[in-house]
Amino acid sequence: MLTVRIQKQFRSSVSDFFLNTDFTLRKEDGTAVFFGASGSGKTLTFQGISGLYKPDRAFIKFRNTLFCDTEKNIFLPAQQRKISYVFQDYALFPHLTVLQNVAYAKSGLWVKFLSKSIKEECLELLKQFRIENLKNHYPSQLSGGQKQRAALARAILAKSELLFLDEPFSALDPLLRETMRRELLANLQKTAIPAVLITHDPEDVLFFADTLIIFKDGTTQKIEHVKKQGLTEQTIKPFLLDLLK
Amino acid sequence: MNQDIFFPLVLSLKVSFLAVCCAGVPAVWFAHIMARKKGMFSAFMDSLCTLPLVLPPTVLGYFLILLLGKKGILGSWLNAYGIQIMFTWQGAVIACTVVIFPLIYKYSRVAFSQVDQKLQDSAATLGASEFKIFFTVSLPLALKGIFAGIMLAFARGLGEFGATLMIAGNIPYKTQTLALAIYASFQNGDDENALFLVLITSLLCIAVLCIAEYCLEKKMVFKNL
Repeated sequence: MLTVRIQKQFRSSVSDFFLNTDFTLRKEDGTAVFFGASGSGKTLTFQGISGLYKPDRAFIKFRNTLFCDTEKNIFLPAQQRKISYVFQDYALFPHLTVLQNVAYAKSGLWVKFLSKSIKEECLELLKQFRIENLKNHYPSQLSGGQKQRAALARAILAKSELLFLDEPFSALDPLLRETMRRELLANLQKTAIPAVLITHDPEDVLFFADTLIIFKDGTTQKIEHVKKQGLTEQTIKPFLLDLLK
Repeated sequence: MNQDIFFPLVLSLKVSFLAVCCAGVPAVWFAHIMARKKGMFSAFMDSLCTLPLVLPPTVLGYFLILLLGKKGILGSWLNAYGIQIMFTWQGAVIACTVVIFPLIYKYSRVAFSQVDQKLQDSAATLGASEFKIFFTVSLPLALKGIFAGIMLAFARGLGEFGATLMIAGNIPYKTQTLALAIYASFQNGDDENALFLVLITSLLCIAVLCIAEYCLEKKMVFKNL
C-alpha cells in the first residue's frame, strides 16, 4: 500500500504552484496511472514520493516503510526508498554503454568494470528486452524505443519494490507508441513490480490504467476499477480530454 | 641548453604543475558543492573564490605576505618550526596556486552546473550514494570543462609574475621562473636573452593550449560526451 500526502509550495519568477496531493494506492488497485494536463503536478508528485525534494508537509508510506513524515521529522533519502524512476527522456548516462547503464545499480565506483556474475545477469536481462546486440552502444546511438528498453532494464535490475514511469511514450514516434505500449505491458507483467505511470495521453489511460489518479492544479482525485467499469474509448475519452482543457 | 634558460624553464613547468595539483582538487571539490547553490551566501563565497582573478597581482601578493611573511599570521607560526616560505620556490607554488585557483574553480563550476540534474536524480533512485554519484556521473560528465580549466590554469601558471615576485622574489637559480627571468634580462639590457625567453614562453603556452584544444576536439579522453 502506498499512502501519499504531499504539500509543497513551489516558487518561481514566473508563477507559484501549490502541490496538494492526497491518495492511497492498494495492492488490489493494480497498475495506477497519473493523468492530467502539463503542469498539474504529476511529475512533482513522483519526485516527492521518490525523495528528490523535501516537501513542506508530507506523509508518505510504502508498505511498512515510512518514507516521509514531516511531523516526526522523518525523511528517507532517495537512495533508500527502493523506487526505480524511469524519467521522461529515460536519463540514461551518456558516457556509459547500454551494458554499463543497465548494471549501474549493482556496479561499484568503477562502473566500467563489471564482475562476471553482474555481467551475466545484465546480459540475461538485455536478452529478455531484445537489446543484447546493443550492449556496447552508447545512448546517443539508440532509438527512442531502444532507450526505453534500456532504461526499463536498468530500473528492473535495481531490484526496486516500485516502478515509476514518467510519460514513457512521449519521446516516441506516434506510430511506434502502440507497439511499445504492448511491449511495456508485457514487460511489466513479466517483472511483477508494481508500476505507476504518468501520462497526458488518454490512449495510455485506456491501455494501462486499473486505477486512475486525476491531477488538476496540484490536487488529486482517485478513480478506481477503470478496467472493471468497462469504460470504453467513447465513454472515457471525452471526459479525459475535457480535463486537459 | 644554456642554464640561464634551462633553469627558469624547468622551474616554471615544476611550479605550474604543482600549483595545478594543489589548486585542482579543492577547486573541483568546491565547484561541485557550489554548482547547485543559490542565494546571498553562495554569491559571497563565489566572489571570494573568483577574487584572485580580478585583484591586482600586487594586492594578492601583499595579502600572501600578510599571511606567509615572517611576521605573518601563518608565516610566524611556520617560522617557529623552521619552515621558510618567503623567497623559496615553494612560495612561488603557493602564489601560483592562489592565482590559478579561480580558473579551475570557474570552469569546473560551469561544467558541474551543466550536468543534467535528472542524471544525478536517476543515479540516486538507483541507490547510488552521493559519493558514487559524484565519481560516476557528475565528475565524468563535467570532466571536459574541468580539463579545459586545468589546461588554461597550467598555461596561466607558466606566465605567473606579480604575486610570485612578491612572495618568492627573483633569485637566479632559486626562484627565477620564466616570467621573472624575462623581466631580469630586460632590466639588465640583455635583449637577446629576453627575446629568446619570450619566444620560449609564448611557444610553450601556445603548445599547452593547442594540446588542450586537440584533446577536446578529437574527444581523445571524453568519448561520447
